[in-house]
Order: sequence, then structure tokens, then C-alpha cells
Amino acid sequence: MKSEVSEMGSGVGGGGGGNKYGSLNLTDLPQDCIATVFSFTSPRDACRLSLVSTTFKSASESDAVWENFLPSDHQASIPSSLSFSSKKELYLSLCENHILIDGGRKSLQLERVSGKKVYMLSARDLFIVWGDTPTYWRWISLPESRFEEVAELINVCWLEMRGKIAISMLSPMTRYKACLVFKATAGAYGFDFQPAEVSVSIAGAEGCKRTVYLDAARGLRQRYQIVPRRIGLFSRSRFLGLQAPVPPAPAGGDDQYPKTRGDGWLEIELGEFFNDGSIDGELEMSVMEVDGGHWKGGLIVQGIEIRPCL
Amino acid sequence: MLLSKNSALESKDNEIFEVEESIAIQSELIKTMTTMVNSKAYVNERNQMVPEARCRKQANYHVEQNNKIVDEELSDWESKFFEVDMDDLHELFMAANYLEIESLLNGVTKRVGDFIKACKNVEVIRQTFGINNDFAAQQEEEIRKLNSWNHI
Repeated sequence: MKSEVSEMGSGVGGGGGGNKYGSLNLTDLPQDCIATVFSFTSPRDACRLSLVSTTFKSASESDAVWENFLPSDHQASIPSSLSFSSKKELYLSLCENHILIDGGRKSLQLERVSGKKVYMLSARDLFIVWGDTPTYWRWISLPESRFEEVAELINVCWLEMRGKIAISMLSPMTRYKACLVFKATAGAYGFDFQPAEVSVSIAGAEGCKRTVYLDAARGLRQRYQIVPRRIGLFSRSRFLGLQAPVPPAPAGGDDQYPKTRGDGWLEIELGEFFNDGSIDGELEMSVMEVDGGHWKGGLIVQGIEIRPCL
Repeated sequence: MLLSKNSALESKDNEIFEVEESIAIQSELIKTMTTMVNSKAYVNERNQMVPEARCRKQANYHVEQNNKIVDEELSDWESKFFEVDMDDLHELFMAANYLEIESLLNGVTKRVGDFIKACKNVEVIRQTFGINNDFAAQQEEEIRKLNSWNHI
């Protein structure tokens, strides 16, 4: 529809005959009609409309309008302990703060411009190979995590983490991206020269695989063109007599390296998925580093975030 | 109004349209009227608000809707049907509301919604719809602050 209605800038004459589009006097119509019109716009437009006039303000803030912007299943997702004076307030709250769902295993939030759902699967919600073996992984609480526990990687040879979510939980007609949300401890090792293989796919189907580097420091080195030299004591591969291969020349874009998030954590993109609303089943995401055969450690995993691409 | 396969509707301009009854009753108002005592005089009075152009458009709208058209063609047709200027849109809106035709009303409200979405800022919305700003300056400032989270 966008192509049929050209962008209206400023400078068009006001009201009546001066306006090239004529004048549609909405105030002639009953309030609920006006609210219906507004519900066909967007959260941003509804906020703009509340500034137009007192009549528009009252219609644009009505529950009929904001009910439409909230996910259709929001009643089921919101814990009954939370109550709000209006649907607009509920919408606002869900944009500003995530809520924990599924027994604290996942978080849910709304993307403010579109109202589409954003999820984070906690580390406890993921399938982590060797995750229950204390020599390899341990579970700790961090104040800066939204979940009760995060997973700390002590030391593994075989790194494999998988997450899944029912596609029906995602907003329809939306392109989503999945990111691993994590931190590196000061002594992190084993991630600088060997990339991990990540993928996003519909369960049972062949998905999109990518290679990424889980080493935040490497990301910085690439950007600043510093020649990497890892002769540190913590390079276990050297202890084991394995020669660390020479890191390859910078390849791929910036999204092969971790980025810093607004909440202080790092994230690395695992892949994208377009939900047209017709697919049933589960979306699967995975992070694997099993080819190098070397030991690695020093990561703290908060979870996997699934959010709309902007 | 004749209670036969076709209904005759008279508009304000005294023009008579023959519309298939199944289409005529898509208007909730007309549907209600057909169950009441029918007299031409009554019909005249009730239809006085509805000028000719609107009636014709709606009749066409429903004829097309009721033909078995493929979904894609229908949405194309609907896009063209609503590609009118504000004055026509206003008339369609008033008519759809008055005659209580749900499908027409939905189409018009979506189209007006599109107009709003195309407006870049508050002032353009005011100009497009000929609305006066009846807020006090301080009130306006407060509302702007409250809504700043959405980058308006």
C-alpha cells in the first residue's frame, strides 16, 4: 500500500481547498470509528496522533487501539500478578522491561516501534553438551543477568549448545535474527584461531550455517589491524604440543565477530529466519565448535536472543 | 423498496438503483429496513442523507465482492477502489458508517490509516485532516515528553 500513498512532507496548505488531498474531517465520525482508523496505523503513529488535538488524543489512547498493537496472545503470556491501567501502559511496560515466562526459563519483551515479540532463551533453556558436568561447565548467578543462572564454560573440547522455540510463539510476517548472548572472562582461551559453526533452521530442515569467532578480543584486533600473537601461558594448545595455526586473513564482515550490546553483554549472530506465520514446528539454533579438537574455556553464556531484524 | 430479487434504492438525488437483494442487505441499515413496513415514502426519508455517487459506488463494490473473484484480483480491485481523494474517501466513510456496511467500512478505515502512516509528523496530520490544535502549550509539551519513548 505504501507505494500508492506518497510521503506527505510539510509545506502543504492547511485544511479545505488548499490541501491537495482535500479534507477528510474525521471529527464528524463517532469515537469508536476514529479509534478503528487509528488501530490500522502503528504505535509510533498513535503516539503522534495523541499530540494532534484533544479529540485525537482521547481516541488514540483508547484500549481499542493499543489492544491491536499488542501480540494477539498477550493475555496468555502476561502473568496475572501484573496489572495495568490501560493497554497502552501495558504496551509501554513490555517495551521497557522484559518479563520472565516459562518458569523463568525465557524472557519476553516487545520491540517498541513494531510491537513484535523479542525472546531470550536462558542458558538453562538450552541443551548444552556436558552442561551438567561440573569439571566442564558450572552454573552461577550474576547480578547483571536477567535470569537466575548463567552457564560458565570452564573447559571443554567439544562445544555444543542448542536452543529451540516454537515458531508459533514468534510474531508473524517478521524476519527474526538469533544471537548468542555471552561474556568472555579475562582468562578466556581457545577461541581466537578456531571459528565456531552456528546455524538457525526449522526443525528437521537444512538450515543456514555460518562460521563466527567467539573471541571478542580478536574482533577488536581485526578492526584495528593488530597482528595477533598469542604466546600466552593460557594457550593450552601449546602445552599439548599442538601448533596453533596462523590466523587467517580477515574474512567476512563485521558480523563474524562479537558485538557489545547495550546491556553490557556480547552477542554474536547465529542466523536469520523469516516467519510468515504459516509454519508450524520449532526453530532450532545451534553453536558448535567440535572440529578443532582443542580445549577452550572462559565463556559465560546468558542465553540466545531471538529478535526482529530492524 | 420492492421485495423481489432486486431491491430498488432511492438516493437523495431521487435516482433509483436496482441492486440485488443479497447485496443490498450487506448494509445492516437496509437489512433492518426490509423487515419493516415498506413504503416508498419511508425509504425516501431514510435515504435522504445518501447522495447518488455513494450509492452507486457501494452497489458496484458489492457486485464485485460477490462475484467469485480470486483473492489476488480482489485485493487489486480493492486497492484501486480506495485510491480516491480525501473528499471521496470522506463520503465513502460517512456512507459506510451510515449504511452500516462492515466490509466497506474496513476498507475505508485501512485506507485512512495509510494516509496517517504517510504523515511525517504531527503538523502534517493536522493539515491533512484539517484539525486545529486545541492544546495549551504546556499540555502539548507534557504529552510530547510522555511519548518521547517512541521517537515521535
